[in-house]
Amino acid sequence: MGDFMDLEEKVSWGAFLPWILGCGYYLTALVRWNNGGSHWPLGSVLIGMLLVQVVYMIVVAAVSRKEPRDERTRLIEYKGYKVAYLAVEAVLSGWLLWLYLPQHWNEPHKKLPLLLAVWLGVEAIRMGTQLVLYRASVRA
Amino acid sequence: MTKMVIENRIRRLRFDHGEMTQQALAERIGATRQTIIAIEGGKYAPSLELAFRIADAFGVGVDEVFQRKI
Repeated sequence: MGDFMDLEEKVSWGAFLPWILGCGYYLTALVRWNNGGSHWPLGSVLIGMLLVQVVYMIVVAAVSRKEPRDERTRLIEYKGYKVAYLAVEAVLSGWLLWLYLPQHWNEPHKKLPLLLAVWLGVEAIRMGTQLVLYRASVRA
Repeated sequence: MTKMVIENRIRRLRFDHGEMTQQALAERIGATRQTIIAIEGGKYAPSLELAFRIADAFGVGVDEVFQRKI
């Protein structure tokens, strides 16, 4: 893998692959569990994922050339956060709309205040950050 | 507004400076080698600051490194 990737990209792969494998394994176990199979607890999967990530990071840091986090690396990171944020917002909005469907009006909405609070909170943080950045010096 | 295409002469300038490697240039300007590869390949447009640092590394003006494609 040598110089094919910079350190940040290697680290990102090291975080992403165990995450996807862990999620996939956990979801599969959950489906099996719902069908009467044995249950693999989320805690064990998370600990396993973290262990793999930590070992990978140590090995990559030891064998890779030390590189600065430059503007392109930061820009990629920001864009990743933006896509993730938009995905979370889409899920939250869909969930809120679903809870507001007429057939749910007579049900107690225990999750609704929390969902609304999270949604309002993250939107407030986004708008507040943007308003500060409009007046601050900005760089990638 | 049409997208502006910016070309660069980094590969040529590296050649003119004793076949400077991408890694050497990256270390001089405080960037990663992958960023140099991306800039050379026209996949990343650097900030003005980074553009000046690249130009300084070759001892030329920014306009000798980056040109707008007409």
